[in-house]
Amino acid sequence: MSKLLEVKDLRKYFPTRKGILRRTIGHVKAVDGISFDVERGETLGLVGESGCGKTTASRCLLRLISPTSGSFTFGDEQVDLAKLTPQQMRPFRRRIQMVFQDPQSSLNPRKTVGDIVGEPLRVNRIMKRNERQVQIVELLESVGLKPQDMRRYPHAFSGGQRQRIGIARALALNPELIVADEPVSALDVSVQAQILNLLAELREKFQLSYIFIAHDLSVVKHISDRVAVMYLGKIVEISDARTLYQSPKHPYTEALISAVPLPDPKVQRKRELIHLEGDVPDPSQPPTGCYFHPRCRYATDICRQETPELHEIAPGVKVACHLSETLELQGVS
Amino acid sequence: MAQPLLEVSNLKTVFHTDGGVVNAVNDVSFSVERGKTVGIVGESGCGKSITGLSLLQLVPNPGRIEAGEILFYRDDVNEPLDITQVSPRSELMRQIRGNEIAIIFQEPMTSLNPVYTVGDQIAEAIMLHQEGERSSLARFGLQTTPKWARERAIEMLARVGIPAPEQRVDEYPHQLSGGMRQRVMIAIALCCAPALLIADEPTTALDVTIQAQVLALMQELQAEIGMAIMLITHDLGVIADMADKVVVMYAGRVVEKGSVEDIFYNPLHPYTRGLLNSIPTLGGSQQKMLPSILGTVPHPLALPPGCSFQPRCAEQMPTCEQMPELNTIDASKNRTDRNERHAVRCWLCEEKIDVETA
Ligand SMILES: Nc1ncnc2c1ncn2[C@@H]1O[C@H](COP(=O)(O)OP(=O)(O)OP(=O)(O)O)[C@@H](O)[C@H]1O
Ligand SMILES: Nc1ncnc2c1ncn2[C@@H]1O[C@H](COP(=O)(O)OP(=O)(O)OP(=O)(O)O)[C@@H](O)[C@H]1O
Ligand code: SF4
Ligand code: SF4
Ligand SMILES: [Mg+2]
Ligand SMILES: [Mg+2]
Repeated sequence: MSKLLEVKDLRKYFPTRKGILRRTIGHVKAVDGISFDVERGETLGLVGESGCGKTTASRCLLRLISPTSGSFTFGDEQVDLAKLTPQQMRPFRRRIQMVFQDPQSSLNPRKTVGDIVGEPLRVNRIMKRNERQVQIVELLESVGLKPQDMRRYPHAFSGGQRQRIGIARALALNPELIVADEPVSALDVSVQAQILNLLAELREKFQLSYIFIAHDLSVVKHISDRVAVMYLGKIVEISDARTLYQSPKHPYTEALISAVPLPDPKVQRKRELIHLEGDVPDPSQPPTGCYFHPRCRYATDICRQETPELHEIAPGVKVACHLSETLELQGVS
Repeated sequence: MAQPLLEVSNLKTVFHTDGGVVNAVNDVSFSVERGKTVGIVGESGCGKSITGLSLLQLVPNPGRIEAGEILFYRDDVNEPLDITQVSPRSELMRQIRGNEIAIIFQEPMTSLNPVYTVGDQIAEAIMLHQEGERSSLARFGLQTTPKWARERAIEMLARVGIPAPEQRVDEYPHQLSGGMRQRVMIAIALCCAPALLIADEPTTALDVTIQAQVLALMQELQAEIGMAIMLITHDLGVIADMADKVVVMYAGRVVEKGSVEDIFYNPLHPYTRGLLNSIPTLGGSQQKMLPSILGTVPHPLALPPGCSFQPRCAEQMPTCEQMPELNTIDASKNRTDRNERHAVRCWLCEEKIDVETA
């Protein structure tokens, strides 16, 4: 496998302002120095609780917002996208596409499905009109819609079907990487399975890579080859999906896994629940040392003083915890 | 044998809309036992919330209860009360809502008043509840003063696990996190120690770790005050964790109900089986493809004839053009409590059983 994307020390700080002069009084470190790679053909899952910076990180990668610092090298050319001007960025935009949580709000209600899906082709002047029609039909069929759906408007479709439209549009320019931000979170269980299967099928068919963002750990496990867990703007653990769930190495990952109720009453009622006290801290005033220490049941003195770095403890397994070598944590098998 | 607290029979709640009649809740029957938890599951629009709201006569316009019974066995009253016969705006209904059946929703922000502190809102609930008891308290020389109510409010906040309750009591809803707001809602709902708590997706908007805290809190308080819980959710994991009995709804109807073991270990309706198969799980090996249910839920104004699940059902057959009855499974018929029996609405289960004549 070859590397498609390499993210190094990505940061995004939002200023917090106060008063009529809107003076900056501090920063929300929404993304606070994260590093990871995505191989070609691979799905990297990104999980973590609300506000941990998942969406902000993905918006930086697509250059929808400018990162505060960091680099992300993309493609065989190894171009650092973080340094490009919007003009220079343009050819790369086609190669990285996004699928959103709420297909409702990302589809223009006044345009037909054909126009929505064909829009990227038209804007980029990729094909003549009649070729475009053929391509749109193909795209619709590859996401499980019918050619005649072209002439209908988004409101005539269910949530799951709208998500299919969003995916067809993302595929139009033949991208290499798709960043999907909570693509199935708003869908019913039965429809969610359909969309997950579709994404898996398309990955094979078009040799796509995904960054798949979700707060649902089961969904992320299902679709991902590797998983990164975020807490307060940092990646605290990253490894292949099976290892991460079976034998987590970071106390936060352990707690997250333990909090997911398993759909099996006998098993679920016998599990030991790890209680995380309190809420996720305010990201504009993160705790000292390890950001997780106020809620960590293993915390020691060093945890309150020193910030642990993400480091490799076994091939492909990286953890940011002072005690990762000694702790025996529980996963699910 | 658990005593019934609430027996819902053939409940039908409809909306007369411009496009036609939506049978949001259609011939729904189930019971809730004292101190137990009933889980209601099903996909968006299947009628879970409207069922819950019907129990409190809170169905929004233009909806109304058109048929059925909701028998409520109140404390110290011998004859059950049929809630469908009580006027939504009557004093009696208000009393039931305030004191005997409480409800909490998915987004607590919509039910909390943004201009009052959480303390004021809890205190108000306490004062309201004490209204009836005030005279008896006065006999012992006790009074429900605002100061007293505030102290109770602080106690309630501490009870639902909110840190620094003396400070939080003076804060406004927007100053709290989602999990804390849901705790405040629970505190308000529990001021009156209700016999039944209807919880409509109480943790859907919360992160998993906070969800775990809120569910644990509900279980703890249930054990403490013995209330029954009607838990509405689409999350089968939450059901597996909490429910004693489960009701599975599809397009307004009950398609299967039974004990939590019946539903998870012996699901009989193709929809229930499909749902259980299509959820990715944390444990086990990774499968490439999830067995998924084809198609989508039918539009409530364009239901297919017969079994509503028919267009999506892999086992569909000609008989399915007719509506199957909800039938009790033979094997569960010897259960002493008829409210605990396993019942399914599907022609596949028809031949194995004989129709219950209740
Ligand atoms: N434009 C902005 N200005 C200021 N702060 C922001 C902005 N966008 C995001 N934030 C803050 O950055 C942090 C990370 O937000 P982000 O939306 O990336 O989280 P997330 O992990 O996607 O959460 P969710 O699961 O709720 O979608 C939050 O504390 C958020 O309030
Ligand atoms: N005010 C209304 N006017 C017309 N129809 C309504 C109204 N409220 C609800 N309905 C209909 O009643 C049916 C049941 O709705 P209900 O809110 O009970 O679903 P639900 O199972 O709670 O779904 P969700 O999981 O999305 O909350 C739906 O088909 C809905 O369209
Ligand atoms: S570094 Fe310390 S506080 Fe942080 S996760 Fe590890 S043990 Fe817990
Ligand atoms: S009645 Fe027929 S269509 Fe309906 S669930 Fe049973 S087999 Fe399927
Ligand atoms: Mg997000
Ligand atoms: Mg609802």
